[in-house]
Amino acid sequence: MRTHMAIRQLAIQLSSVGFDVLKFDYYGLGDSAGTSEEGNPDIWRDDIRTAYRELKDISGMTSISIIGLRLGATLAAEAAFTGLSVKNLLLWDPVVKGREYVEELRKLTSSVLKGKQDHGPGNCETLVGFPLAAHTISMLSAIDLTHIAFKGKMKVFLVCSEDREEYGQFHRHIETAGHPVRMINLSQIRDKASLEIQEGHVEEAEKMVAQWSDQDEFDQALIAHYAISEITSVLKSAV
Amino acid sequence: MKEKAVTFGQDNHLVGIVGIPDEAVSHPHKPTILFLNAGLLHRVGPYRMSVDLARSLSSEGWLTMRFDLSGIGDSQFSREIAEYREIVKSDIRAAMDFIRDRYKSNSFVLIGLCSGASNAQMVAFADERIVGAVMMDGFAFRTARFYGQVLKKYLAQPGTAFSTFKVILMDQCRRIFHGKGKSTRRPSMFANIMPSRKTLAQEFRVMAEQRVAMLCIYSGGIPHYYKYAGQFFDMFRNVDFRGTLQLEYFPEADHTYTSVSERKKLIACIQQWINNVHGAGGFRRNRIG
Repeated sequence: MRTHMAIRQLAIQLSSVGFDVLKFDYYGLGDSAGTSEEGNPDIWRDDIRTAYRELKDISGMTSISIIGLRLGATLAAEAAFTGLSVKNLLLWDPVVKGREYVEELRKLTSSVLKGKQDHGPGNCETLVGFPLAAHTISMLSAIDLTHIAFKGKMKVFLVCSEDREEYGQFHRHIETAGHPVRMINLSQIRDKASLEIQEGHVEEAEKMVAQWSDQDEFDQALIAHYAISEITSVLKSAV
Repeated sequence: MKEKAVTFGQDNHLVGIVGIPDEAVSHPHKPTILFLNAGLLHRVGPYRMSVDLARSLSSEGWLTMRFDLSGIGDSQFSREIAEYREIVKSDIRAAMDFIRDRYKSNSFVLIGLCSGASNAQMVAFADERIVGAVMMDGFAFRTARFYGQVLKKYLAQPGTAFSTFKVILMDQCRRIFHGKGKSTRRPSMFANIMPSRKTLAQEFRVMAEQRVAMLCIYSGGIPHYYKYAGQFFDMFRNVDFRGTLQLEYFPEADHTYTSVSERKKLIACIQQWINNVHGAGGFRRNRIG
């Protein structure tokens, strides 16, 4: 829910400052056709290429930037680094090590289902309510952005909501490969924002609670508004 | 079947996906199935439950629409200045008006989980176009048997029953110290306002009299409020449902049906109910008053 809201709010903000924006669901997810057990990372990377062409056709723009969140960031990186011509690539909390990600999801599944077994159809494994084919899980586990080979000359922005060792490893890997990369640490921006509220912007904080019917204030309560603002300003200054 | 993304509403601010059956299986007199948001989750539902169910139904000949209420998912906020419940009513009516104008269907079955169930109940009571409602984990009141079960479990396994026991105890304390029915929390815009049992009973009575078909489903995911298969009928002992209400209980499921097997059972149950109740000849709502 929060990722849908974050992407939607980001799309609204970016279009309000002049970007043409396309957001989409991968095959087998959200409103798109198919089922989760039919999807896999190869198909989803193709979806990114399809969306890329579609946006170019619709907008008439030649310069395209891609933003991805979590696994979406990983797939975007893989699509962009293997030949898609992209101006800016903004990766928000990418999944760097697939094996660890799958294990995290398995733990979460077990915790949500209180240890009960939940088998999907055929040879599927269920991860947090979604059945995925065994070969999809293998493909996800094989992801390792710290060993990805690069093509293209895009600017890379690595947006991190928290300090994780894997983000540092990925950052070093991109730099070593000679790509310009900027790391944006959202936890520092968040700390600064909360400090400002503590230091006297009390009326702003009160306004935030009181004006629930206002769209901006509502979204602020559910997603990190400072993150949306920061990403928007980063992309605006990059073009 | 095919799907079409649509926008509608007074300011074209609402977003929905219409599932259109193939002509060969389509039936013009069947009601349209409308899916409501579960809480703040967008129109796909928990784990795409609404997508799976809507597509299954459309492939069997039912026109369906999954849509986002104002301020949820991809829908913009309403410019109406009104209490949120009024905006919800207005959004659901806008969805029905859109289907009537575009697809010439003017009877509806609402499907909702959690706040979606409350919204379905609220609108189904008031709008004569609604011939059926599927309400999952909707309103629930604790009964004497519920308290008996909690106490029994607490005495047998104090550790596992402690959380339920604590919630009930705190609710009771709140009532004693802050007055019956008063909440200590400021109601939020999306707060699920709980009508009294008397009001709900009266609404159910009217819906039963008007022959609105109801499927009430409860999961094992709200143990602080719902604990056994027949609790719903115990909650509304004085209501004669006149055979309009089917009650189902999925004790192994959590509130959002995370388990694929439980979700499949749920989808099959709803699908079967819709086909049985609304398929052959359909359910006609009596116009009273």
